[in-house]
Amino acid sequence: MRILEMVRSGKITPEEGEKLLAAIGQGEQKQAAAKRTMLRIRVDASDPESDGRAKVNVNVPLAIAKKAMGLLSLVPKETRKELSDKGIDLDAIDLRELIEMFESGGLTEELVNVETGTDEKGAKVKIYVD
Amino acid sequence: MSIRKARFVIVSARVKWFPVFISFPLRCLYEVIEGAQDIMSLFTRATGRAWKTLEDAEDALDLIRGVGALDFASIDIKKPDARVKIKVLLR
Repeated sequence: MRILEMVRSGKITPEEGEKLLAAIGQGEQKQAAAKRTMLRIRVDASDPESDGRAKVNVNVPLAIAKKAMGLLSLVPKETRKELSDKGIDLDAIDLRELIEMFESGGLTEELVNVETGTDEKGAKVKIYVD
Repeated sequence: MSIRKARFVIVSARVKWFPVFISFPLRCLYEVIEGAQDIMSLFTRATGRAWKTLEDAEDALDLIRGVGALDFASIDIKKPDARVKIKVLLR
């Protein structure tokens, strides 16, 4: 509002006002990223051959997640294989790089969100920060 | 408002129908690390990598303690012939 008033009163040009609004938006985004400190891994997988189902929820503080990069190994083998059949290689995901991108504000959405199969027989892997 | 540091690790599990409940103070893990460091100091050939791992583990523990109450993990694996449920909480 103050920026709009400054533009209206002619203290700054509309272009300058636009730049200021963009800068404020970026600052807020970075603040929000700084507040989010937990890496959450959600896996919900079902084995198509049997009635097996695996649910894994892991919450790890970001600072620790950066140190313990083997977290993706928590994804069950069956799910890993199923994802690999669909052309998704979990081993190729560099979590450290993704977290650093998130911290620098370059990434604001989920780090990984993969769904295969149907709701009944399929796998969902979601890794996000909040 | 300060966050109360986590003091206990609570692990509850159910393997088939057997319930398992383990609770221990986080301090125990510090003692384990310190003990391992003491033992390693007896060996002159202890690799730097092993020391680094222990230091990292100690740092990780500090970070975990600082987070406060945390639902660290919840794992539920259901198969026709078996069921395993594990919960790890920090309080």
